[in-house]
Amino acid sequence: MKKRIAKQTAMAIVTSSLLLSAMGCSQEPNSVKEEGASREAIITLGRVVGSDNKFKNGESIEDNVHTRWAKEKFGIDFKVDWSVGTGEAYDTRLRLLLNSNDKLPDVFTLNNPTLENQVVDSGKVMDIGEAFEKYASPRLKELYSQYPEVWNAVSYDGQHYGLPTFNANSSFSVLWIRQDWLDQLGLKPPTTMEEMETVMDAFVNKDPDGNGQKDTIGLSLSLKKGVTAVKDTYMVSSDFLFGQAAIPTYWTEAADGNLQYGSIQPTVKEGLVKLSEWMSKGYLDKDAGIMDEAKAAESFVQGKSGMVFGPTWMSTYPFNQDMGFDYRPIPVPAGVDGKVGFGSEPQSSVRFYFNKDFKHMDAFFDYLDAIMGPGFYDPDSEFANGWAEGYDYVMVDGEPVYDQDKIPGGWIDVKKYSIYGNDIQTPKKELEVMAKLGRGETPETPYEKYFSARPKKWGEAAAVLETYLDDSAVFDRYTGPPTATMVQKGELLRRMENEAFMEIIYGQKSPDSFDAFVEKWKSSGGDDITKEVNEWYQAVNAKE
Amino acid sequence: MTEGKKIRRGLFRHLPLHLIILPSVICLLIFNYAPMAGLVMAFQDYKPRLGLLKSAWVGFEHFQYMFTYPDSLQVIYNTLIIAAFKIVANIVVPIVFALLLNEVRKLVFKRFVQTLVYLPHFLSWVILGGILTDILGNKGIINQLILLLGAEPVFFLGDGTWFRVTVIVSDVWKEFGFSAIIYLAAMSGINMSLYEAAEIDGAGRFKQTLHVTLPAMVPVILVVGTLSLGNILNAGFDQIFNLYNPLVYKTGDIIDTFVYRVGLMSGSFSFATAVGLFKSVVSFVLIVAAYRLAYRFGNYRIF
Repeated sequence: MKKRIAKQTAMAIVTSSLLLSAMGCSQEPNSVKEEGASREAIITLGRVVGSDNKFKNGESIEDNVHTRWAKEKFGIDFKVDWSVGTGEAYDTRLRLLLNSNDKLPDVFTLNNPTLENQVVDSGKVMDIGEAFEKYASPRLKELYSQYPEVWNAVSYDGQHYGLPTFNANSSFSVLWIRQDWLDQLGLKPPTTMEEMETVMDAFVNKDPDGNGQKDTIGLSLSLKKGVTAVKDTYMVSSDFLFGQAAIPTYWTEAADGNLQYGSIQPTVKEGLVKLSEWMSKGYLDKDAGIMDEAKAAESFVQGKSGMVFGPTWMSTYPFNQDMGFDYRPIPVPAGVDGKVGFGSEPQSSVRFYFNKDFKHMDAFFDYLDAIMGPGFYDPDSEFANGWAEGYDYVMVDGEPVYDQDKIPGGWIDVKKYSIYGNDIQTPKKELEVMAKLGRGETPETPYEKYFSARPKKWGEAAAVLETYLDDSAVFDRYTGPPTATMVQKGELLRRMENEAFMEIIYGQKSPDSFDAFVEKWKSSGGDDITKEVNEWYQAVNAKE
Repeated sequence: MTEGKKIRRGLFRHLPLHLIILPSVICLLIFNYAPMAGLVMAFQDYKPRLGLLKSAWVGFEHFQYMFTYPDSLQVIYNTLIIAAFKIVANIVVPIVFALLLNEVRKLVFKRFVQTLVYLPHFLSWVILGGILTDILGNKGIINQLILLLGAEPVFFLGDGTWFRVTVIVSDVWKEFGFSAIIYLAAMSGINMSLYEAAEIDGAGRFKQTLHVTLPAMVPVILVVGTLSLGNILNAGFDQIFNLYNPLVYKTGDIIDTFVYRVGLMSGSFSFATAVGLFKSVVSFVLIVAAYRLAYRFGNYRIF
């Protein structure tokens, strides 16, 4: 008994002293130093060091092959002020720093518009307009001038308070179809809604899998998150059916130059009528409303569904090698308005922000240009083969080898050591590489060689997508933080929308209830949101 | 010796024991009481960059908003219904199961069943959500059975009425085995001589259960019942979040999922805190009330 108490006491003491020491650590001295004559730039950072961040050779997040490279090449000293385990904790930490008026890191990334808005509001981050003009490399300037709307997310009164990074915009989306079923039934790949209905009807009623049972569906679909596009439903969505005039939940530019909300446009009603017909005719799985993306995709993987709409990378997941049937990617058929369209992934998801007192924007832009080499798919980039030899690749007979077993000491994901923690993509460059491979051309650049290890179908899909992506991708033009009415009523309106749409699709209410929904949406705050969204849109475009 | 002196001497004598408990008390203060300061957010228009001290006070605005929000009465009602059924079912089913299991003679069989039924408790709803979608889907095994019996398939997860039933039944299925452990423990503590006496008086197994086992378990049932009343506004976030969809918002949306969508997705911390505070106050009042009742009618005290 005595022994046990002693043990528990010891445990309690250890626990409490750990706590105390943990609390003691959080106060670090500030680390702002003056710039020297030759460049010696200290950049303080907050880092996410998760369980997937591996180290070898006694390295750490502050001292590793990548930071040594940055020091040698650009004279940059990365100083890690603090590190946390997850992206969520990172946001929380930044929120707390704002809260307690502590020093923000010199450079940090965010992907949360609400928090970003608060960060800019605090007046603690830099207006980077001048620095960008002065220090950004020519290819960076060209890239950003090509897609000026990307600045919208960081624009306040025409000034740019952060640096948006681009998404790859290379994967969304194609229609995957069962070629063997088409052949067997003597059908052509559909290019319009009518042809698609003919094909689905045959897929459902003519027993394409030949098992004598009516157990196939025309199109796999996930409606668990409502009728949405890639922003909410990352694959197996239905947005292509609405064409280009309006995508549910997306804000698009109307003829008069104002932004309008997709879900309340007349073409969406037509689309919902189609979905409801397809549901009642058995083209869709009755469970579409309760299945998430992965669940809904299973029917196609298992050979019970004729079509599925989704990104080109579906060829690696959820598709797999064991799918013993002939399927292929085809262009998306034209939607209800006669045009090919679908909701695109956003142009930018992550933004860089800079502490107002940060002095080394020149060093940052030099560094950024270098680490974006792979994102530009630049064959001359020193990172063309990988991020660090001996870490994520090794050279064997002059060729890079990515086989993890051949790397001494194990494979290390060095891109996680960079301040972005990932490859910084540029729009459609990956698509170009994949499409080239998909057309069967010989891989030449290091990137093409590297990607040639990907499934062949991915490349084929990219080659298909490349033919229409530019004309069909519909972007959500509202990239600002939630407006006042969105915060207050956004959920209410979204729920109203989801319920109304699902009731129409499942035939519980007539399609004409759509008009009542639109009226109710407008009067319950939708009109206010539209007004606020357009005020924002005018403000960000004011001084361009 | 006066009362005060007695207590003081007692304190001194037990000083080492009090010191041992001190770290835990400190932890409790730091982690359970200090964060309560954050509750003032509920009465502020909280802005993270201004902090607790500088954010503007708005009084009861968030509470007012909560009760005037068109969906909130529906959501509170859903929560109460689902939680109430869960509380009752999660007491009754485990007791009945424990009583039945207690009558089993073969020890091996008893252990086997016990292990088997409490396994689902350890599965997370994320996984079970996927499994249930399969089992309860239109082509799932349950609906295949229903079809065999000649009835129409039931849309368990997409039909408002059935959704509640599904939620309650699946929750009971997941938890009853684990909850039964405490009752089985209580039963093993019953004095055997009581059963012997009952047998001499001519009571069969059923009468013995009714007049010996059950009365002996009343205190435990009261404790469990009292404590679970605090959950009257917790209808199970994990479960509902993984199972619900727009088709069943009307009957399946509960306070927690609603707050998740409103508070966290759009970043209104104050509103989320206000709802949390409201839940805590209601739960606190209910626990105190239930405790008083248990004391009056069952002569049972925890403290």
